[in-house]
Amino acid sequence: MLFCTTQFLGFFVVLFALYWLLPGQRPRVWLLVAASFWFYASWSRQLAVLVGAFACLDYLLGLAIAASAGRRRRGLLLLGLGLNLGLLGVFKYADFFLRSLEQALHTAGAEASLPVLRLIVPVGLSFYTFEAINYLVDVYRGRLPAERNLGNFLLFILFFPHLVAGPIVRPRDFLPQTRRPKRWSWLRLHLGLRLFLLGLVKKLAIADRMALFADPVFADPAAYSTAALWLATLAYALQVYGDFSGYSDMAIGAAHMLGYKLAANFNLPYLAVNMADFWRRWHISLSTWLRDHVFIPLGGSRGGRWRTIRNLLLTMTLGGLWHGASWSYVAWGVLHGLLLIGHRLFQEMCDSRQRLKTWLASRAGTILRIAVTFACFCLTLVVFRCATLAVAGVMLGRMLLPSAGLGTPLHVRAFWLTAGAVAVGHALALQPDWRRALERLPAPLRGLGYATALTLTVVLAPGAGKAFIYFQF
Amino acid sequence: MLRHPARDLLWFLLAFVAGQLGLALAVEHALPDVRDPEYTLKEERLRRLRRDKPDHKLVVMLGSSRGSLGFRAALLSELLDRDRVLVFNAALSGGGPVLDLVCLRRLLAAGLRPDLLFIDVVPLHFNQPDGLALEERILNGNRLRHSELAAMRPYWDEPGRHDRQWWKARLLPGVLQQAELREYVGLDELSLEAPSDALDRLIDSHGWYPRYPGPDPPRQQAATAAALRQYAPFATAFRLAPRPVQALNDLLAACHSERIPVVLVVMPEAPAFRSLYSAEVRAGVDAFLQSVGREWRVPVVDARDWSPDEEFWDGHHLLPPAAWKVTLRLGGDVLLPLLPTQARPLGAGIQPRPQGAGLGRETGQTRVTQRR
Repeated sequence: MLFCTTQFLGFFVVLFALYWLLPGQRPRVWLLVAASFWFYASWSRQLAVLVGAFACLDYLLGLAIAASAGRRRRGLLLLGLGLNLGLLGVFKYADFFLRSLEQALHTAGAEASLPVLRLIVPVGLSFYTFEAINYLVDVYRGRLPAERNLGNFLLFILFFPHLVAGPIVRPRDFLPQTRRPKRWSWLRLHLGLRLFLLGLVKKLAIADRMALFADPVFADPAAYSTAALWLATLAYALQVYGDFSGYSDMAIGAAHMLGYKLAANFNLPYLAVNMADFWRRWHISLSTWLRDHVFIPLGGSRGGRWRTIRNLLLTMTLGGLWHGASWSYVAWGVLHGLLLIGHRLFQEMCDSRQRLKTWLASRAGTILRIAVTFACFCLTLVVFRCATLAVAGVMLGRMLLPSAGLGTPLHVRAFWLTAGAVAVGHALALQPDWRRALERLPAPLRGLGYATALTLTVVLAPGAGKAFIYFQF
Repeated sequence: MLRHPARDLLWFLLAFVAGQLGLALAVEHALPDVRDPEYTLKEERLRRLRRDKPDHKLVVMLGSSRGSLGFRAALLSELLDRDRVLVFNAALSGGGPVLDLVCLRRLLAAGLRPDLLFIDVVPLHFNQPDGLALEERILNGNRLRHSELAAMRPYWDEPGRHDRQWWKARLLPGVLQQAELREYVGLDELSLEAPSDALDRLIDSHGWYPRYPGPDPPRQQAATAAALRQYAPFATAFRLAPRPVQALNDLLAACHSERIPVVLVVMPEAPAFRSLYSAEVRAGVDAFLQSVGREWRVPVVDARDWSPDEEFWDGHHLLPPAAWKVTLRLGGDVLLPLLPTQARPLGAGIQPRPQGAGLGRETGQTRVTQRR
């Protein structure tokens, strides 16, 4: 059930009405748990049972860890990590590793035919296993008391707005909210609806339309000209941003309407001035998770340059692998690791060149840095999006060397209009007082603006609805 | 912080509802190219031609997508320009006797009165073994204005179906007519290097609508299989469809009262498609069409076996080269003899049914009347 469907609209309206009619926090928590389970079961009932079962297991492990000490405590943590990573490994990576091993053996001249599991990856697997791991580690480290109430814990894992594509929620942020009684607030409803509408605009009017440009080209990059390939890449950059940040906005908006606050997941990432800044703005919940649970435990940036480089590369490679079981994702992660390393080294070089540093901090320098960062990200998107590394290589080659071929599959006017709208949106968001300016408008004008945005979005949405990109991760 | 968020939400709701209502009214009254883009475009094309050639005799084809794809009116117009004859293809996708009636009324209301009408009839439109008739299933009520919807109600077994389609489309035009609205605004224009499916580029100056690309055997095979599956339920058992028959009779009556000569044309069907028909259905629809021809004294041109399998995209829609051949044959064999000379007006070879004769509307029976 996608957020941008009439099916979800019906589901949410009924849930919203029942939720706010119910007295007290406890019934509401269980209603949300049941609704979230039903939401997940709309994809697969069997997998919903599996996710529910693992959530119950994590709940019991959390209690057991909190009640234990010493080696037993550590052992329980390792068991919990093993179970969650095992779930992720089996469903998501088993076939990938088996295929890769088989290929490696064939290359080495050995005869091997390894089994193929062909398991359906549960939707949102990567997100809730990371949340569960986060919880168990926090309980182990004493940062968080174990949650005693099963309903609260199940809601933390299964809460449908963030269940299938994030944001990855921190237990320290979410669990206290499950205990606090919720009071009706028109303001929160207004904010939630506004965020949901923004997400809908990003998903339907931007992401799905940009997919019309990107999909045909990425399906057969060898047929297209250099200009078409660049345009498709830019279109995909807009698509993935609109899709993912749009989903996050809808998730945060829906949660708001039910009285829960989820952390922001995107902060104008295409205005990042370098790759480190980019990862502080893009998929914030994942990048902070990787920082806290991989980069810092590995030693972070303590321990000298080479250790930092190693830690960055490992962290980003794992980040790439998190996205999917394929060498393309691994390569994408490695590329980002290299870009982060490159940024650090460049930063070190600039520290001893004051004039360069001053110029880079100027307006022109900032624009250049934003452009370079965006271009670098776009080039990594080619690796991310293409079916295989070989195809990505062909596409990158044709992008960097002038190549003849087909033009864009759609008229470029539609692309530039959409890109222009995104640019205007970013420019407005940069103004510190845009919210206040919006609030000062007369209510009829604001209402008209929202209605126009919704109507335009619905009209612009391409006929066949596309699933959210990050559902596959 | 917002002082009155509830008020904001109310204004949002009001503005959205008002916006949808405004869009609905616009679609119904002011944006025919959103409501029925194919017809509107064809009418525009015909008006332009009529302005340039006001004195030419106008020959119009009404009918379905078979006629729309299979009749290259521009070709005949060019050949017959010296005879001061203008030929136009006003056949519409999903068309049948009901939509033909709507289309004729629209043309007459627009002052585009044909001097001779070719009506492409699809035999299976008049066979209704069970369930709804073919045209009733295919036609979407949102193409019609409310007044047309009401007028066409007697021709449907389930008039509520098209009413619901109409209401849904008018209540949520942004959702249900989004493709037409986008096309209207021009946001889906395709690159010059890729095949375009924008109506404006596909429909030629005389209404021919070559929707399908050139030969592509694998896709043609798949399309043919899909078409056979779609039409098979209508080709096994025979029961004359009373309401489509009524619609055809009313269409012919309207032509008669407007003194517009008519030629009924059964467009080509591939041998694979014709093999769908059971003997009972073939005999039944053939007898019906013959009886209509006799009753109304209109020629019935059976062109079903004019083209081989490979000249179709999907067994019943002609590819462009085949449409050229079929058009030439229709022009030479059917239209030329009907052309005006000094001694006789256009269509004089067709003698209309005498006033006051019966209409042969008995359900399940075809009336056999004397042939001319």
